[in-house]
Amino acid sequence: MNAPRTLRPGRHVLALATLLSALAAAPAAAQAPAQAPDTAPAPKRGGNFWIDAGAGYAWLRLTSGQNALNGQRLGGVTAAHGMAVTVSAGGSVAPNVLLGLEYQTWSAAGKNPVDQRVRSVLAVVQWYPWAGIGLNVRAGTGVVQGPVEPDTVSAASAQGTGVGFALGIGYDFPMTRHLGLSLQFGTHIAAFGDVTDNRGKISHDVIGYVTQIGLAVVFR
Amino acid sequence: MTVLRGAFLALLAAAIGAAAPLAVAAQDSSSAATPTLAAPPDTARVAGPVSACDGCPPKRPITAVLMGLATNVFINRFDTWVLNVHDPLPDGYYTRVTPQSWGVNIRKGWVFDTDAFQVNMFLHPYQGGTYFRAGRSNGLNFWESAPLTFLGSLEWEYFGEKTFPSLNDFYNTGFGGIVIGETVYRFVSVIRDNRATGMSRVLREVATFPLDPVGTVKRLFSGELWRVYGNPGEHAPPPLALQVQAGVRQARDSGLTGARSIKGVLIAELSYGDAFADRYKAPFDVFLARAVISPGPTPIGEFRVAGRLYGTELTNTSAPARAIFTVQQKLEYAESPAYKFGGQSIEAGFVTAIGVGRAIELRTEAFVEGIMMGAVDAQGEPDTAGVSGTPRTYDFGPGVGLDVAATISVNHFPVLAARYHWSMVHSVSGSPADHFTQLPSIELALPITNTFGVGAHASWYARRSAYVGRPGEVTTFPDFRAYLVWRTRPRTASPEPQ
Repeated sequence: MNAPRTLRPGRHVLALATLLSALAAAPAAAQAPAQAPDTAPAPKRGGNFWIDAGAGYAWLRLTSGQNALNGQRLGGVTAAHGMAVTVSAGGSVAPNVLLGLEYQTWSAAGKNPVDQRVRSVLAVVQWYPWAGIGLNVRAGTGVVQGPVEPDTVSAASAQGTGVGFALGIGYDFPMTRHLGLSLQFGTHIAAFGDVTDNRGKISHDVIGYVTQIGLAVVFR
Repeated sequence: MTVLRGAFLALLAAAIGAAAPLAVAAQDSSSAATPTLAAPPDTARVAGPVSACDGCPPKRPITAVLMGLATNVFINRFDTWVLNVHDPLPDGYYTRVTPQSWGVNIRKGWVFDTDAFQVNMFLHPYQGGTYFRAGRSNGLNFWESAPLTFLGSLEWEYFGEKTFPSLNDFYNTGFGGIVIGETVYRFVSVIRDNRATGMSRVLREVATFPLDPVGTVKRLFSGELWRVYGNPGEHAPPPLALQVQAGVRQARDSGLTGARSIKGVLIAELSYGDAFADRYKAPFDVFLARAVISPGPTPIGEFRVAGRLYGTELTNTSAPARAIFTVQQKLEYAESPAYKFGGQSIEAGFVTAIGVGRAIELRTEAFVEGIMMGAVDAQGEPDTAGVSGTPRTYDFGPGVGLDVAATISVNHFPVLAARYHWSMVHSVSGSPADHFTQLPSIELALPITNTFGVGAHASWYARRSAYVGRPGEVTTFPDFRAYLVWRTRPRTASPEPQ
């Protein structure tokens, strides 16, 4: 029986080294029988509440019309720098698996002709491969929405609602038994699809990639 | 020559996947001997991958990942060397991948593709099922196998084709692969019998090959194909019932002519497990799979599977009226002369059972549905849906839905079944539209014996499409069937001998 997952200080050096090497070693470790040291046990099965709140630098890359069949559907690529704020909460469903909802909003930094924002609400699952180590992998899917600028030439705003998914990795640095900081890196892929901008132009297959590196306060 | 190369590559791909267990076994021994646990030395020395039961394969995630990769290599080379697949421009010979095409795919990123409905909504989930079963046949459980469908899809989308990675394929292969993979895994586990010998064993293994080619290849190279040993727990399933309907169907073509056609139809429905017989144990311990086969360009006209992911009883198990809160995952694929509708969804709701006397039972279900990736055709007028000039005559998008049903059974024979499905799909690729669909249906069966009867089905698919900047569209498609029906009584396999 695993004890509840808690955050414990004093493993930071190990954490940094592990963060870099863990992904490469993950399959081999997963192949071995489960025998990781149980110094900081994984979340307890069944309903332990968790919440994360964080922010960080995020970069939006927006593509459109990639699946071009003719000149009518050809699109382009735009990019913008900005900031993303993420809040996630849920419960644990297995000793090392968290399930929850994640809300993220990204907005462009500085003065831009178009006020671009990408918001997403996703159902996410977060997996800690090893008990006692804060490395985690997060994935999710849900709905995305926002005004974006699919074409820098026309500098027009297009409102879109679509489907999105997220992939990311993180590392929890414990501060107290239940509180810690988490370094997070990931991408939200926001498929707005076909959108019509405020000048009436249709852009096909508009897909945004919000790539973020940030820091979050985590409660387990 | 290309056939020979294809055959060689097929064997090579299978060997890569199947030889991995041997290499990994050596890996396992060394890793198990590493003194990282305070385990007794004897245990540590002999410990290899862990088996969940006597008949369960050892847990080998690396092998599972390699088998998924080998499957992709095999499909790609088979398509290239044997089938020489070719699509009209711009795809061309899309399986002739090169490092340059991989680089382009990584740089360019995701799109919504323009493939035909059956390819996207049925074949991709089937392909995803092979990745999932690579996990299951290597000892991984449901949740551990689920990420493999997404990993296999990512490999295929970026490196298996020259076409840009397709987001709709990723969803359909990933989520649909879980549904088909687990359904088929449980079904073939019932058919396979590791204790059987002789012709019975041969026939069982041959019968499962089309459903689970990856698992069969793995069993071939690991020796499980002929070894006599224990069966996994799924071999002794919960109550199973199979219903087959054979008859005629009249449906209206969804094309502009609206032609009515009468065709033969064969419907098979497998009911695995009973939510009211056993408590929730594991994902898909209860599922319902239904396939409709009818002559035509797409013989499998309908395929729907809904499997329970979670369930908890809200009432006393001895109460005359019982209710169970249920979360289930659903794959829906319907491509008939009348309409096309498909999607991957998660549903949450309640199932109830009310006994009326000893022989009569009423069961109901009501679910709200989140559609992660839906597909709706809308060909009522030219160019109203899909992508003009391509096989895409339908739109993609997320949505919501409502699923309610009621069934009255007499002595386990369903005599009256009514179902209503409503959905709203917000198109994100195709036409700028919101599609609202309704599908009420009713089935009536008259039992002649305990297992045999006659029946009739009527449904009325209705779609209302609200387009941006143009008039909306309302279309209805009636579908009538009359058939003979044969149904097995729910049965449980004999327990595994100890």
